[in-house]
Amino acid sequence: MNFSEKIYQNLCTQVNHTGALKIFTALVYLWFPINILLLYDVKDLLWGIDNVFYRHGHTDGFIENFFYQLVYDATRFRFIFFTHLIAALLSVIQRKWSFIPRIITWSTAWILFYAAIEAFNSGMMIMISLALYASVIHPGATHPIRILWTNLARYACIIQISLVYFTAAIYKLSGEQWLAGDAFYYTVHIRHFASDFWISEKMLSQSWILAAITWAGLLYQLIFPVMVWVKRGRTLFLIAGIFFHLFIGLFLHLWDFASAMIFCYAIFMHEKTAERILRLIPRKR
Amino acid sequence: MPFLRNRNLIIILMFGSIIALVVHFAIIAAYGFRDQLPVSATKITDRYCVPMFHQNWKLFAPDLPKYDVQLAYRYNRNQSWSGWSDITESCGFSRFSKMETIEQGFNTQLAWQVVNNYYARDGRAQFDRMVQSPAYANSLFYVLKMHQLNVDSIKPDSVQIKLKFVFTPPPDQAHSIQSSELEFPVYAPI
Repeated sequence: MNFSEKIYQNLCTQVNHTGALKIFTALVYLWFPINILLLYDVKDLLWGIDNVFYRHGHTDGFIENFFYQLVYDATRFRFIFFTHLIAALLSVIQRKWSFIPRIITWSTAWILFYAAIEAFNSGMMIMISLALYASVIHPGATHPIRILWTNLARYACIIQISLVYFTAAIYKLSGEQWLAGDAFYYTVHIRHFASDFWISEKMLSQSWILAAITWAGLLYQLIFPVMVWVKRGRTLFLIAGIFFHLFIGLFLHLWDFASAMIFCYAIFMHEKTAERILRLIPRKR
Repeated sequence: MPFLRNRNLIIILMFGSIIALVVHFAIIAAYGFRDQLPVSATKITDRYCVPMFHQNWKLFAPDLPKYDVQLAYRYNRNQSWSGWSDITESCGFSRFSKMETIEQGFNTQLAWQVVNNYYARDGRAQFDRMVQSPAYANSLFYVLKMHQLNVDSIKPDSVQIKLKFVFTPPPDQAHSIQSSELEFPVYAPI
């Protein structure tokens, strides 16, 4: 078998990891309604006519005008907000026409993001990126081109997730606090993030715990892009990652970021586990 | 469409898609490290990534600030000043809330202004560069809007903001906490 034939067989003949892809795409698009509903109470402060942002204006241009439209015109906010919510909900379950609500979810997410950029962290950004790639995923595809795009989208999602950790790890290595083991110590002194528990006398006297947490976090991010391609030990590594992100959610109160990263891990799920989970979902007879 | 079943065409499309994906991620990765790139390169990466593929994965890197900073304000009405209060908490939002995330974003911008644009001339503190910055405008607008929506709908005669810093001591001196405050000039909304 020649080179191109080998790649063709791998990418265009069947969708790989169909079960994991079904769960992954459902979770990616489910994250948006959860996130948006958690912001429901403050939606008017973020995007409404009486929002709290001083608008400076943005670069002009056809594409820019579309994505920055809420920056210019807050009167469209309710339309964009509810379109995003409905499109995301319609995107959760795989259908033949899922591409349409998924692209709407992606584009409206950007519009909401730019209009309230200070309110969001990397959780929103990773989910928007994945929403674009996942829009072409169709686990039940039979046409070679749809199979190709589904398989390539899966790789794109894995590369994107790896890129998050890789970039973060490289930036951390360029500073002083992470290598010295002090980063978590400084994090817990920022009131917005940390519970009082971490700056209690007891915890501060156990500085090795704070240093160990810092180094474990750095190590995890550094080896993630390699470990996700290694079959042996990957499951254990990802379970550790889930606990890592639960820790971030629980102790640093960054639940939107933590849940985004945990949801992302569905793409690495073992196929048998995915099928077992999917069997639990009742189907139409 | 039968031509889309043509195997050679699919192989061409397959390699085209793979190349497009490689180029896409090469630009995205370069954009992720744009601070280290020359302007000629960031021009290209920015043109491609903004606004549709924007990303920023620093995630508490390279270093965290060695202080906690809060935004406080006071206002004047009928020639009487209120006491100082934390803007977000006084409006009923917790320190873990989304509104506090927004305040922290403004505080970071304003703290950057303090580090880079706060200076003294003839022994007097100079605020001119800071009060002309978007960071100051953002903070002031946030304070006025939050006050109007949550405290009093009548516009105050004047308002003043201050940054309250609590400096994190080095890990081996964890109990020697120091704090500092910087009051900005009084602002009278039109």
